[in-house]
Amino acid sequence: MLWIARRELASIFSTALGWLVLTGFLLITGVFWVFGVDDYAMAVAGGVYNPYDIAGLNITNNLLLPFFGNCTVIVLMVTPALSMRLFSEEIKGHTLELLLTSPVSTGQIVLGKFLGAVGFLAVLLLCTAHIPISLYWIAEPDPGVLVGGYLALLLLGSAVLAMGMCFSAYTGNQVVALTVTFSMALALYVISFSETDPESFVNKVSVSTHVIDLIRGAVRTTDLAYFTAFIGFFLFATHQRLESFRWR
Amino acid sequence: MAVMARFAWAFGLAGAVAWIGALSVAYVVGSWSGPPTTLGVLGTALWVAWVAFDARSLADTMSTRHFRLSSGSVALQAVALLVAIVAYAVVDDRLDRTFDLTGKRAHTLSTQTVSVLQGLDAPVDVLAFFPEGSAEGLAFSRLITLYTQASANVRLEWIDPLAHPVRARTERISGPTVVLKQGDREERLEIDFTETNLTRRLVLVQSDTEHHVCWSTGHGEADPDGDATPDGYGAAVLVLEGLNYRVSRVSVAGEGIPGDCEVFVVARPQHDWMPSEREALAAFVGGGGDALVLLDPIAETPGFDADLDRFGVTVFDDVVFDADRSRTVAGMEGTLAVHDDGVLAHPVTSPLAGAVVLPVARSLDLAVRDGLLAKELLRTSTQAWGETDLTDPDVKPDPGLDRTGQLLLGVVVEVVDPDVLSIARPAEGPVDPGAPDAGRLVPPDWKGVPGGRIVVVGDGDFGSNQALAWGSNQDFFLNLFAWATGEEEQIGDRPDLAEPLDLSEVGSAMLCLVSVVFVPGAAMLLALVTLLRRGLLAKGEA
Repeated sequence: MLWIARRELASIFSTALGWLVLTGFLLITGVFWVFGVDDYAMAVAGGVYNPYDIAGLNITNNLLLPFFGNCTVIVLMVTPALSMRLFSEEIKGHTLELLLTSPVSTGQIVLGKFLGAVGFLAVLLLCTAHIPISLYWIAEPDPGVLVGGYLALLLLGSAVLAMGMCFSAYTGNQVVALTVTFSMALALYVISFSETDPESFVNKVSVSTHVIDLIRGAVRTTDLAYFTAFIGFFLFATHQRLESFRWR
Repeated sequence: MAVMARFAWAFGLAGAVAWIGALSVAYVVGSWSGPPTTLGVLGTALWVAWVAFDARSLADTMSTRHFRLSSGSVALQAVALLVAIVAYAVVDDRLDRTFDLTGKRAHTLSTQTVSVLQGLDAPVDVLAFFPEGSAEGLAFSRLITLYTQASANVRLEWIDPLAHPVRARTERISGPTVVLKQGDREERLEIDFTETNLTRRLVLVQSDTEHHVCWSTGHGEADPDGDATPDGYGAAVLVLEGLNYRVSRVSVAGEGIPGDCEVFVVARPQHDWMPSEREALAAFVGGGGDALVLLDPIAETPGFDADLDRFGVTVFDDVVFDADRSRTVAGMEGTLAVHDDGVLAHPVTSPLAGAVVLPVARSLDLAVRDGLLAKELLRTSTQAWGETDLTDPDVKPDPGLDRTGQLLLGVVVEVVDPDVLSIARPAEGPVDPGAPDAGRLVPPDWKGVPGGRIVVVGDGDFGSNQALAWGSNQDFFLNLFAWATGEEEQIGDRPDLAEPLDLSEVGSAMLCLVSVVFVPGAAMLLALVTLLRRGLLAKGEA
């Protein structure tokens, strides 16, 4: 399984797509970070004239929260591009049969590919380490919020990767897998935008509801259960889909 | 029968349509009662009919190998989905806990709130009226989740007033509101949906404690019900009433000061007090009561002002100006902004985040007396003076006439020994209607009780409708009452000030370079190297 994960991770870096995704991700997060810091610094500077106008302005709510909020959208766009090729490429290139006949179980294949993709996501997030480092250089941020923010991005990305991997197992066309995954992820993200009731159905289903507390540095068991159930179900569905190739 | 079997698929389709309709209506209405249930039953009936009419064809299909294997897989996936949903629902319903990663414990309820929640002996219904998607509602939903996690006695009902106008009308909702109900008691929160305010309401909804504030009338005092004029105190009194204070008007000349008054307010008297009224006020404070005296510089109350001397407070007949620009409100000459070292340490003033803005103030002084414990609350900068000649258009300190330097604007005096107040007693025996009886409004059974306090502020407008929202005036006003009635937990907290960034121009440029150029550039460079190497390797192999 780990061998498959390593192979998957290496294959991402051996293609232009992996590097393009990494460069694009770092560029966009970098731009958002610089703009965010600039806006915050401007607001603080404005407070010299009236300190009470900016009372309560803090790095957690006014810098890190918007930044990680923007990052969730970037992750939402990037991860379908990673997951689209996980099985679609194998189906299109007729290498899936080879993989299925190799001496590894379907479960190991699914988990290996998933871990490989999550590994790449972790590398993406790790490459943004300069952001918290620079923040510690210029201010005193709350480490809990930083940990929560990165955990939120990792869980959100993993959930979308699991879903995207499942869809990619249903089609040999990577564009179809990308489109369906992104549409579903976006729908699950925005579905709760106009809903306030925390007990409402859409808030329970929506993925954005379950990342917002994490970004704020609050880890709720409900959120962890949501992502575990979400990822678990799609991994199982992918497993079932691959199994179906065996008896066809 | 053959015809029915041929068109049986239509029943299946109609059943699906009926179920989609049922789900849609249930989602929109927010309930399964009525049409959604009817549609659901209809849909199920149509599916049963479909199976009944097309049983043979369905049986043929189900007997194929492909169907057996694929349907088994679909069934397994459905079961997996069900397990995932149930597992999530169980955690959400029974095991929902929050682990706070933040250093400032931003997602942890204060110990006071936790103890209040643990002390709930009966359920409290929290009705949250917020329009869908409102920012206030979202913030409140995060807060109330912590409350529901901490106590099963907090029962939350979320109501969109736009979707349920009848319910909103019944509960008299005019904007975002949180209504707390326990039995017949009810508390409402309409602004500042913070933990402090919510917990305060939670305490109040369980408490029968009501503080009685008496508001002096009969000398042209500020109107406690006046909410239409800038100088009325209607807005301030409304806030007080929202915090379980009952404010009643009292005419001292007619009835004296009722014994159940916890705080007696003299707000901006315009006409002088009779000696008997002044004795009644002194007796009230000497008897352990708390009085709040807000004075107006322009008022003609020489007797009342002079009588404050028995508390060690001297009131000067002047209007205070401050030459320190930072202590005045720009464009409003004579309006003082008291802040920093002008606000002296005291439970009432220490938590204030902003300036206390006094529109027109007169200066005070304090004398040290045995039996009295005096403390300064507010004062000007060292560049202030008390202008005595208001007819002179050139406002500047007149040496020898005006008091100059750091002037007192607010004081608090605690009576340790009531005898130092020399309170007159009611005359005994037959009273001559023509003779003055200074002690006639003092209760016959009056007994001195140490601990009475009097707060004197040299401005009577800071709590008016016009000035209440200026600076920290509202907090100062409310803190005075909270302190006087022993409700220390209601004294406002100092909000966090802005967290700065230590970012120079060079630092800003470096940050930009690293984030936008160096790091993405390094990734791009590595990409080029990898791809070039791969290309060279491929060429070599060829």
